[in-house]
Amino acid sequence: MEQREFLEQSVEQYGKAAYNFAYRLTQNEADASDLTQEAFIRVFRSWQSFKPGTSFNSWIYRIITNLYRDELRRRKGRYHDEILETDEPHSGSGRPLAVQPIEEYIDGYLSEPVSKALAGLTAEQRQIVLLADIEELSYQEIGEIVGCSVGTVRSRLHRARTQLRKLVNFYMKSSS
Amino acid sequence: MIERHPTSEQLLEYLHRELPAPQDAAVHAHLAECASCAQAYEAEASLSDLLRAHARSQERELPHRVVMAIRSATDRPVPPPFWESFRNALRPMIAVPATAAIAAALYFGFSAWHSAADATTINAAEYVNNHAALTASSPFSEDPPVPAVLTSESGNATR
Repeated sequence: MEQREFLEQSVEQYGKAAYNFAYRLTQNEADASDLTQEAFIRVFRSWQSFKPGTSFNSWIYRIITNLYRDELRRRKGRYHDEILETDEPHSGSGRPLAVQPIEEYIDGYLSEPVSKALAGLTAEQRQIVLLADIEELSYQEIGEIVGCSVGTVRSRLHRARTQLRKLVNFYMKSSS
Repeated sequence: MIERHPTSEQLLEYLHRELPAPQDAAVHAHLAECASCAQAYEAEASLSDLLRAHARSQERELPHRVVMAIRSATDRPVPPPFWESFRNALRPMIAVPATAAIAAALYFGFSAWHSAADATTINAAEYVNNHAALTASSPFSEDPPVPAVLTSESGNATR
């Protein structure tokens, strides 16, 4: 298969999933668009390193995760290697700089507590929860994407979900 | 049914289908019997359901401008890395003198080797004489036989 054809096929088949993953991760359209674009440019450049038979989703998610991590570090965002243990929601800490348009806010109004709770997680916590519960990847795949062992995925996921549950309850109570 | 209640980590692994088959079966059997564990499991499962429902409600199409931006960016030739550019720039500066040096070494080395070798000297006159002697004595020679000249002791030649 030719390089251009590989890119076109991968954008067609996985572009939407990659964009949605990037959107859930960054929580805004501008950053999600940039991440998706850059990720597929990387796919184009290193297309020969993709092994047929392996999961393309895992590959593109890994690229997006790494790009997002680099971007947060570049912006000196609050990306932590360790999970924060506090129960208090941190005010927009994991949320990058772009502003969410009002239309999106209205669209997501019904799931506002969940949106806020996800935004209240650290970037690393959000990553792991998204990969496990929304993308439904195995712990092994998550470990490969995030760059840690299965045991670490297990413990981080448990703590992230505990934190998420507390945040969801907090925002549900405050919205009611 | 397992004796001890599964931990919350085990319930989470059960939810994500990460437990080995025997443990998975044991937790499954335990949940059918234990109301408190079943409730804890339902709480975990409902959080996952909530997240998936939220994701579905937020799902969006890949914007066309992103596709166009990807195509536009990949249409441009990628500039080579700095080291490669530097190496390419150096290539003629290195390759030309190196080729000249190799050519010169080959030429002068060969000449020196050739002159140093013991050249076999050939005495051409010997070959000419031998040839003349052979043709003279050969019965198939087209040259007329050289008449033998006999000399007497007195010095008078007789044919």
